[in-house]
Amino acid sequence: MQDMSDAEIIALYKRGECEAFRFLVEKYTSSIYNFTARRAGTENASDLTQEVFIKAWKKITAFNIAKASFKTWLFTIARNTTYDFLRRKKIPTFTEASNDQETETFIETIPDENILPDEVMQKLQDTENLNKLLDQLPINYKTVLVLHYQEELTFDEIGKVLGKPLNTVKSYHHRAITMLRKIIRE
Amino acid sequence: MNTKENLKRYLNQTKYEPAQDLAQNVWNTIVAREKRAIRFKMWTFSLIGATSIAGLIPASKSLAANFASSGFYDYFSVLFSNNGTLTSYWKELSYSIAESLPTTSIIFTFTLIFILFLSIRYVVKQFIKVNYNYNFA
Repeated sequence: MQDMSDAEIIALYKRGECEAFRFLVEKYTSSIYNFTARRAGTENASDLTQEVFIKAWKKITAFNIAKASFKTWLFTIARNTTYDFLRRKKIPTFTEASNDQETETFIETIPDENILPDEVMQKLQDTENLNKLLDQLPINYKTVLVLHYQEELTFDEIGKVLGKPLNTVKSYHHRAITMLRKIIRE
Repeated sequence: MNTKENLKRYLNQTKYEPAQDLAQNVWNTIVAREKRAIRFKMWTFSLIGATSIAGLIPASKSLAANFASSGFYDYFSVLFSNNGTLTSYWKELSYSIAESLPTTSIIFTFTLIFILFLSIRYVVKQFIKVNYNYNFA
């Protein structure tokens, strides 16, 4: 089953092979844990990861692989779960509902390749320091960085996860990098 | 190596790793919930099956009584008695047999039998699911 694609595993599960879902749990636990930990803190990440998979398991029969990949779908559930959790805990998530018009009109002018100078990159090598820096970023910026660089999702897929247009996601990405640079230089 | 690749490398170093048993715990929770749901369905269908069996006893008694009182047996016996009558009045006899059938009782009894078989099917299905489709190991 390890050589099978997500779509094949889901098809197997839908045909009554209940153990197939276990492979998906094992495959994505680490990614979902990291994602929820970044958004809601490590102390809540285990419970949230469990909640995400239970929700996915409950809804998997209705999941349509033609509309989105399983990975994108799972991260969408994770995003909604953490958002609900933060709202329940009354932790401000102001950037979740940030001004989209403003971000959509934002135009990328600096190419990504040279966006971070060497001296900034050197400071990013310190893992502990980078963790602190990431925690200072607004939640959506952080989410874009995590999904793009750690989970290797495309901007288009991230847009589906966040429910934002492609340009907004690109804008979040650019702003996240700019903000990282600014924080490091301060 | 360009900035993007470096950033990817550094960010990957900061990945939070879950406890080793988290995936197993998540799976165990899912299995436990699924088993609970299956057991609930199994008991519900068993109850429905038992109710239909209980309903079948008076329904079959009523069906037999209705067959007897409607004169169905009398008309039916004509079929095996006189061949001359049968050939002359086959149409009338068919109508009389059809009319004498206790339709309501038949429908009611067969509905109960159908529900009984359906619930047996579901109970067996849930039983197989709970006992053979999930492993904790």
